[in-house]
Amino acid sequence: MRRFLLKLGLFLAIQIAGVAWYESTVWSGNNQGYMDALQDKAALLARADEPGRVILVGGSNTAWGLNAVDLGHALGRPVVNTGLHAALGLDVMLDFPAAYLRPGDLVVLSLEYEHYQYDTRHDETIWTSAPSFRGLPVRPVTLQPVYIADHFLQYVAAARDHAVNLNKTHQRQEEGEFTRGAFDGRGDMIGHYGKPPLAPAEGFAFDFHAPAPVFLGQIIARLNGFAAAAKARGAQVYLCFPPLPGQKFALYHAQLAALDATLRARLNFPVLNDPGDLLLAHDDCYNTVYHLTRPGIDKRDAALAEKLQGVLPPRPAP
Amino acid sequence: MNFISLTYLILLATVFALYWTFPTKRAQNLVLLIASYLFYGWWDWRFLGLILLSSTTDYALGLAIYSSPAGHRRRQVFVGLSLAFNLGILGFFKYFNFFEHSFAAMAHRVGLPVGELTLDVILPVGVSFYTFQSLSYIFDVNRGRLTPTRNLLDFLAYVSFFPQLVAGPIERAERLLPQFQKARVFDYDEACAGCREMLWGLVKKAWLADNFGYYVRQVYGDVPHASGGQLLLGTFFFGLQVYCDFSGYSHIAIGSARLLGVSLMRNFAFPYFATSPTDFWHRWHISLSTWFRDYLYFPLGGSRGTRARTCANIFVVFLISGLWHGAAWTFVIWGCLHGLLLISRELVRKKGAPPAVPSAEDSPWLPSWAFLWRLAGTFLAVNFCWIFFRAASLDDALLVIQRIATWAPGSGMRPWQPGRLMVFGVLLLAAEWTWRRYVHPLAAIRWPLPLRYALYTILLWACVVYSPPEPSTFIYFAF
Repeated sequence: MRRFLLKLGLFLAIQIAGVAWYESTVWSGNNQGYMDALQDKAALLARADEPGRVILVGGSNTAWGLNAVDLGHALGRPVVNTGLHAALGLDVMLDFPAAYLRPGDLVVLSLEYEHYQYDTRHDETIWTSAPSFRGLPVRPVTLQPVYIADHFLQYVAAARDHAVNLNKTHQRQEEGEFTRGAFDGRGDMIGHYGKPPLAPAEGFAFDFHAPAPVFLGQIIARLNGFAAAAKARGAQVYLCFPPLPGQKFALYHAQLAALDATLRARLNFPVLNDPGDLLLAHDDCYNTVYHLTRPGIDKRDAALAEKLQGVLPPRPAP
Repeated sequence: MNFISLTYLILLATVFALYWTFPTKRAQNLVLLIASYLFYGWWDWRFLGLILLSSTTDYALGLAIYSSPAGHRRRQVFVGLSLAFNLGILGFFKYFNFFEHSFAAMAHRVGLPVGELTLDVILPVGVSFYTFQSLSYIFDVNRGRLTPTRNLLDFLAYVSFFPQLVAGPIERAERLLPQFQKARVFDYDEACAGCREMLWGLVKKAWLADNFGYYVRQVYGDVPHASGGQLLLGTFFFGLQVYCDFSGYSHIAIGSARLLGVSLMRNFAFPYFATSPTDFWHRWHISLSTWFRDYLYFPLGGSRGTRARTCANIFVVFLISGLWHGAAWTFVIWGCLHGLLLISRELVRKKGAPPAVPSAEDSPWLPSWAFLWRLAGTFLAVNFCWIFFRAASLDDALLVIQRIATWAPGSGMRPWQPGRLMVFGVLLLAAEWTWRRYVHPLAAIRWPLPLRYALYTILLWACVVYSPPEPSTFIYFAF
């Protein structure tokens, strides 16, 4: 038995050394990827010198669809854009800012419509960005130890893909998108500003089907739980629907109206707008219905600022 | 719990440590039972009730059969009860939806208004495997080939033994149960051999099967747009995928068991080196084909009667084998086609004639043309049958055949890296042919330790470096 364990131990030690080398040199070598912007957003949220913040929470509809700098000017408040990627899942999206909330903060929750339709917590594309979560108070389900253990080989293969993608990332850096450097100091994606849309707004995919009642009930409970936790920390939460291209809204307006009515009836916190309040025009979307061109962002900022003006509490003293 | 996961490795390491720390029969079986139920419950804890119910029922019926005199009516009633219970479980969980939909479709065609009874029955993982294993216990006790155990722990550990619980090999009670009735002793050579076998299984599944599967999923997932050539290649790749997938699983199961001092039967013996359909079934899923042979084909009369009776028996066995594989008409046709292949061979076979070519194991490295001719014929016939096994529906299977036969052009589909997959296929077959006299190629390697470790490391990392964008689950988990 001893001889067997020694030989097996030696073999495993060789493999672990290989993994450690790979981890320290190849995988962790790049910290300029898109997801690494989480580290900057965490640092921004941790700043203690900004009382009465407006914190924008959501997926990429928030990162690519709002401008915290312009909103800050319009509202006279510091605004932080924590949006990054819907595939992070609802839990991470909520738990990440929750860890940094302070009295006087106002949270604008802008969720992609997908979060109301299906479970967004199990996106394994996050694996390619595992190092981006180091030191953060949250981890997606797919990066939790049991999940990784269950899918270990795929996880390691994702690390391989990450290394393969390094070159592509460097190419993209030149283009200014999908990298950490493409965000501004308030968490807004600005790498695509000034670029023409890749297709007309109507050309991007979007589906919305009435969510299963049980599932929607779970999502509402989760959102109410978040609002209660925020309230306990002295922060207020508002829900906001992201805008859609006019043609897409027309296709699903009945389902979206039903969703709006259900949320208004069952959420324990207010809803700022209707799904149809702002409809996007032909040139407002950049590369998805949620990623907007600069003119689209300006429209959305203006609409949101107008709604927020009416609900902002007095700014607390520093 | 999937074999290809760190979770499984952690479970196996924990079981290994506890198992050999307390080397008494009772402690070892208790460790195995807990580990097996944890392993099975990892998928869905509700399945545990089913396996516990199935095991305890057969435990009690085994004792009841043994205590009844041979030939007594009461004994037959107990056997019948066990059959009804086990096949009832299998029928309900596996075939309810199939028969209900088929009946409704048939009634609809003849104009009978039949309301569909919709039950979303979840198929418990591995139910076909452990049901057959339990049945083998009842049959062996009934035939007097096995004395039933009075120790419930031994019996539960035998039925639920985690390495082979969900996808076999389907062990016979008379072979496996006695191993659980005495304390197992650690054997260094067996443990090392077990590790090598697990590694080979991992290579076959994670590297090869998943790569082939990625191509197959693309072309079989969009048959109308794939060209005849792509579908032909996809069919060959599926043949390799299903082989690597299932035999890879069996290697990991057998290797894991060897680490625990338990010997499981060989399940695959290089089936693509078969020179006839009969030879193929002596090499493919051996534990199932011998199960059908011993518990269905022989009781039906085997080849003892007229040639017509023999052919009928063969056909019944393969019809049921097809249905065992899956609750769909494609599997039924797959089974029937194999039955017809064996029947056609039976019809042309001269009784008592010696085989015209040596087996793969007895052939020289460069075999004769006659051997190659037979091998190619068998390979093509088996791969033709795989079309029905893989296709999503009967219509799809017929469309695949039509598009291959007419060499239909594709419409712009560019499936994943066919050149690379062909190289993988050739490498696999070359390695297996070279070391065909061993259970698997790694069993033949007698190099110095540093070279062996280098080879194992390369193989392990190849699983990562060459894994496809999306891995597949084990195909036989669905059965």
